[in-house]
Amino acid sequence: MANKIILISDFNLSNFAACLVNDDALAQTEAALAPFGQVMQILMDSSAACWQDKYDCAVIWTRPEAVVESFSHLLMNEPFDKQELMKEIDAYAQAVKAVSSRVGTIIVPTWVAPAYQRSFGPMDMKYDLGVSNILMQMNLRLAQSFSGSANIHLLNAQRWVENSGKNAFNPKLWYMGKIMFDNEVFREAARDVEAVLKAVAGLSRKLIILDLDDILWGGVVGDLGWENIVLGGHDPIGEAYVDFQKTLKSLSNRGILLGIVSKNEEGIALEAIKNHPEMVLRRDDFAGLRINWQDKAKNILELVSGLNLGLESAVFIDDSPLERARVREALPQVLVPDWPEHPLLYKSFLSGLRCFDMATFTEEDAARSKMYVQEASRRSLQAQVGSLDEWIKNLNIKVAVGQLLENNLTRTAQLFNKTNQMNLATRRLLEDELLRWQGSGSRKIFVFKVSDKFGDYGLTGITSLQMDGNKAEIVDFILSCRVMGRQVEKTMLHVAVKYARSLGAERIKARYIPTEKNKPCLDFWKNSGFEFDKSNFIFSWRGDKIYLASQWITLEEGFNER
Amino acid sequence: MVLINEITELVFRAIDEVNSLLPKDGRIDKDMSVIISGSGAALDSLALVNLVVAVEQEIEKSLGKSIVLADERAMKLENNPFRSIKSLVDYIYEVVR
Repeated sequence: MANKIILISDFNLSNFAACLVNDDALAQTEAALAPFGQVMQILMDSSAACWQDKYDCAVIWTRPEAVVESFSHLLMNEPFDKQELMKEIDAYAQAVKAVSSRVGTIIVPTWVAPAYQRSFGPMDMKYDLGVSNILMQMNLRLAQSFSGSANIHLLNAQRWVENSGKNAFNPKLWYMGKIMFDNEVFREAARDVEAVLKAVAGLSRKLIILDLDDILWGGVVGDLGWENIVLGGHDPIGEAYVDFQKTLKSLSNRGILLGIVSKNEEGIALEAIKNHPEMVLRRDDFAGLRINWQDKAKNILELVSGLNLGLESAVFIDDSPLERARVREALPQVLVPDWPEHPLLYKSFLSGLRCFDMATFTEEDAARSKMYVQEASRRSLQAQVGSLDEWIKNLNIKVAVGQLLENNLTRTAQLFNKTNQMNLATRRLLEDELLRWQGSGSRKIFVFKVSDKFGDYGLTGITSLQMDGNKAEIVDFILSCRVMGRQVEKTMLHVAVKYARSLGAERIKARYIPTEKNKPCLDFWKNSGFEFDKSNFIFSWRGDKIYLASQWITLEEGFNER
Repeated sequence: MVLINEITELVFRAIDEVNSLLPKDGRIDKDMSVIISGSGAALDSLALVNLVVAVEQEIEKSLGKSIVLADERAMKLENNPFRSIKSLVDYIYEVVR
């Protein structure tokens, strides 16, 4: 389905709309232009004609002098009152926030000034005097104003301008068409807008699968030995490999998982990872690895499914065009970038990829890589203990159930929008929408935190219910793939049924809505003990019956209610 | 000495740029006979602005000359230089040679 975007601006955004709509490399998009030059009126008037249609996203792109009058005085070198200027910014930010009730996602590019505008020349950056300095403070104020609004994304337009070169501001376009920027700026902006919408929809990539030789280091470790691979030292190429590893490490620190798929002798490769003094990434940085001589596509498939992720979560990095072509052909869902030939370009190329862009960042994201490494320890225990029940028993799993509250709202919305496999209805709801849903009628959202003896998974489960007289419906049943298949699902159902029974429910139903990705959810529910009406995918449970939690899991209720 | 072929090529590159902003069914052919302004024009006024600016950028890139095509002199010419791709190419040739 196409993204529907409304563009609100005080300059001509027709070319930007064209970039959003006509670029085949971007997702299908419909863009509508709000009447040009009426920004504040449109933001503040929810009954304006342009709001008759429903949009997924609003891009509100302004020139600072058009919405902040004091800034236009500054440009004329007239006296200006900084307090007044900040008040005007706050009023603008407030008007932007008001749009939240009309669209799910709001994108606001930062204010930028053309490079030819030199203000006081050398004093352009002087505090509270130069135009560039004031503009930076204005953008900072905007960022502060939007910091509590998870659905407002302030995007760095300066980067678009820098990437577009000297024609970014073209006075000819301005005077002939009231077009503020060159098309390269609009193309960069369109790619970033698409990345935001993908991130909001939970479509960001979560896993980087790496080759080893000539990717993490230079040379073939099997031939050279780890002591002689090119990595670090006083050598431009060696330094470039170290910097590339540091960039991977920084992605890992913000929740992107790393894996290895390499044709090598495992022992030799691991020896290099363990022993080379300039390796930035060590064994514990990798959530999974397949180092052998088998087909890489097969290895990737195994690695990804072992991590309970979908192939559409993965990016594969390999220096060999042949291997890249093989993986592209066999696994089209995996993103396989055309990797630069020269190692000096690895870091900048990786940093420029938008596929890892995130719309929110939570504690769970920061800890994700560590959690997957812990998961490897769990799997190793599973191999030792044999039966699934024995394994779950040995994990000492604890599930804490609580309510949806302000302090877990961001993470809850993130789970709603990112979880695909164990997701009953696959409803995509943003923070405001979640609060509104819970606030109307007899509705309740439970959130579940899971931990075991190896570590803490954080908030990974959600169940929502709504009551209608003596009938209860489980509307959402969401569990992160990280904790699937260890009876947490059963415990979540226990909580939901217990709550519904406490309100006098005689029947508890759940409607499964099939998607391309949520068959694991159907499989669980089919084995849940609920009655199953195949004709309309409805599961039901009698309210006079208790639904037992897993005997191997310790349940703590009301963790955030005390 | 700038050749007319060189100018035709750079105008065609500018057409590629403009076409990238147009819907597939609204794109113009790289053909000298295409009418680009006035009655029966294949481009609307915004697309024409985009074409003129794209041509100017191509001239700067390829020939190292910074020129303004849509100036007062051009507008006053009896034969509108922006009428067709051919008239545009001929006009640029006159300006840059």
